[in-house]
Amino acid sequence: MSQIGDAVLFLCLCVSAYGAIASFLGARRASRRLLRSGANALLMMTVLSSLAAAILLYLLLTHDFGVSYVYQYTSTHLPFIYTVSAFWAGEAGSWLLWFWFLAILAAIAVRYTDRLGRLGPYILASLAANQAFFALVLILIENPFETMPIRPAEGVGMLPLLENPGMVVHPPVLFLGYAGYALPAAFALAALVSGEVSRDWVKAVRPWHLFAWLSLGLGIIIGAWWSYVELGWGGFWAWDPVENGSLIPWVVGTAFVHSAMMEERRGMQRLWNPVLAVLAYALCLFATLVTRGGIIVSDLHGFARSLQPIAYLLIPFMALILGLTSFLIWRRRHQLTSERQMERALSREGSFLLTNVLLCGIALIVFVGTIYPSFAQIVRGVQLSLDASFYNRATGPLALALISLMGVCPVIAWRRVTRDGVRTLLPGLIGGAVIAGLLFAFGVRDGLPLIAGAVCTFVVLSLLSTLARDVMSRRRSTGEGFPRAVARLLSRARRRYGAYVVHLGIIFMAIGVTGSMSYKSEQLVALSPDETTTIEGYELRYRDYSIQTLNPVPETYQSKVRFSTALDVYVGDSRVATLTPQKNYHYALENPWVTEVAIRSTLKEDLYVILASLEEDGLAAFQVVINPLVSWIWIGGGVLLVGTAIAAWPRGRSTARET
Amino acid sequence: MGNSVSASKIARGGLFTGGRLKFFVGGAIIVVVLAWLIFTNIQAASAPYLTVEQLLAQGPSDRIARVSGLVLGETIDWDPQQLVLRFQIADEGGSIPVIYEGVRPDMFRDGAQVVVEGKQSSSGVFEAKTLLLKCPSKYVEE
Repeated sequence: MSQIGDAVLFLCLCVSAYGAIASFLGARRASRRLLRSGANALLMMTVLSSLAAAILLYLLLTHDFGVSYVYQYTSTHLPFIYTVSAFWAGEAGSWLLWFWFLAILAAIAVRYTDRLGRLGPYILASLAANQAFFALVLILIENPFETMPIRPAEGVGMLPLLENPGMVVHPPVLFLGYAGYALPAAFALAALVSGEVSRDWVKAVRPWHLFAWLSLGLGIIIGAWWSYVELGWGGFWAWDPVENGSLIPWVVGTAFVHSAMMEERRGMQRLWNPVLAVLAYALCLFATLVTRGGIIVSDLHGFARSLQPIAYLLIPFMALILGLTSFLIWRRRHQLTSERQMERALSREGSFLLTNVLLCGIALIVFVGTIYPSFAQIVRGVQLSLDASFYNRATGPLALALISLMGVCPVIAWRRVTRDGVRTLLPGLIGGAVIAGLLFAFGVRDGLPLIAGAVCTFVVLSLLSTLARDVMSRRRSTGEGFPRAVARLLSRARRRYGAYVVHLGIIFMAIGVTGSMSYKSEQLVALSPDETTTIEGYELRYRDYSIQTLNPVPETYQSKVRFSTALDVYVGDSRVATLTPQKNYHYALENPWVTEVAIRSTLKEDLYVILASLEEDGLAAFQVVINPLVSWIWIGGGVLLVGTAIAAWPRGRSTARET
Repeated sequence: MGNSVSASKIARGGLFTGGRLKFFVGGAIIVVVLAWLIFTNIQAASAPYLTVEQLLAQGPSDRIARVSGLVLGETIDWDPQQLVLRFQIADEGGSIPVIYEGVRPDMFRDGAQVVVEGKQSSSGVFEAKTLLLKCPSKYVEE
């Protein structure tokens, strides 16, 4: 079976390389035959890559331990769902997943390229070239079908940390985002190659880009959730190089969302749009380079210390993409001028521009922080580490400014600010000041929660007052009733209101992040059975403990001794929850201890209990963390999903035109 | 909005020309702010890695440092009631006493390679805020 897999991968390489060449030459020579043949190659790729994926899944489910990927990441103890998710538990499998998504998206693109005129074939050529690169990586370096000389009876098993629902969902969603970002890059390159750099490509790429942007964003949020519930350190974001790697392209992509609107509406940012689109994709590849390429020096992570073989393929490929883009931009420089100049800084263009600058600034800071330790080691020969405070302090002010702009932007018009606009700002400004005053009166003295509280209130009120203003003017002109006016307005300008909903989601996340950053409290306590401790109005009674061995034979990563405790949680006199924080000793692992935290989550705060140690006689050490408002981060992610769906949903005829 | 477009069609320049002075000034300010944010915070947030020998040579200091060394097994003194861990770490250059208030990590034992982050007090004891065990690579397996 695995030989068939190898053969399929080889076919993939040939077909995608052919597709790239046929589409490119077809466009150059205006040959319909070649163009159709190139498009067919891309459709064929979907079949082939799906076949490759199906073969890997089959090998996993049949426990074919003669295949080293199956041996490495699964065992017979593994539940069905994690045997499936082992597909993306390792590097080779996740490359295949990325490749597969890319092929599917490209096949969908084939259907739409007919309408794109001269851009179409170049988009397909670029997508096919990407597929060829991925096929090459799969064949040369990350081959999931590689077999071993002997066929072991049992597999090593999955790392226990990956046995979590978050890890079933997180990688596919993230890789869908990474794969999706190939499309904006392909559109941008096609525009530059064909010379059709007007707003058409930017309009056409919008649904594709929003899809990629949403997937990547959700992937990041799900990753943060996994880190929160599984890694057991009480936080959700550690500014770890892996996390940073996925955040940077998303931030650059967010800048592209906004600058694309400037092109669509005002014919501006013609130079920056292709730059941002290609850069976002290159940064997705950079994220992979960080995780697997061995370019980041980190003592505390299991990264390789030297450049890995994959880096020798990835770095030239990235250089090729960026070099080609730079060359094409230089060649098209006379076409890449904006139709209009900015008239006033205080206008919607002005605030969009500032939004972009702030987003690129944040991306730059995170990028610098990620590579700085490696840079210092190579250039200055010193070993140092950069802690999270760097990122918090450097990006914090920019993020707050960015969030404030969300409140300013909708109320001011294109070109220049109007009186009416300023009036709409007032409720927000007053509300923000009132909230800050109230927080201060209730004893809040720290800068961050005061400022963040004021800013978030300002934005929410400003969004609401914009909505109110729009509804009122619609009622005046149409005489509709209030609910009807709201419904009509929302359905007619879905892009606009969808964007506001997305902004609201970001506000929720900002609230969650601020709460947990400013008011997180922790207590470390040693308890014997039946003892109690109190923290922030909770009383925790340590009721029971147990030690048991699971999956002892045959020995795999899933073999473990489980140390389990039970704590009753009281608020006042009523018992609100029973928490069972655990620690597992996976004796087949080099780092055998894996904690399983217990969380009681409410909208107000999370009670997060980590079992730190458990002695034979039941004496246990607990780390109890109160994490205020964390749930709002996950809620914000949901709102982000809804808002993007509203904004990106294909329009019907009736909503085709909006202001 | 469409009818107001023609009024705003101002003469076009080349790729990098034509922006008004204030946008350049604004841009310059932003670049300076960005550079300042990065530079000052890198200074503040980067803790150097020292060997035990370098730390001993440097003496007590207010600067946070990261020191790595091997745990000396016979010096481990763990109080599970108070959750205080005392031990010494050593390398070729000598050894220093460390105090850490918190949980004893599971892999903490004689000869474990650890990284402590904190300051050396005037009494010569290194007060660790964090205690990390260097873990062997698990991401890259052959």
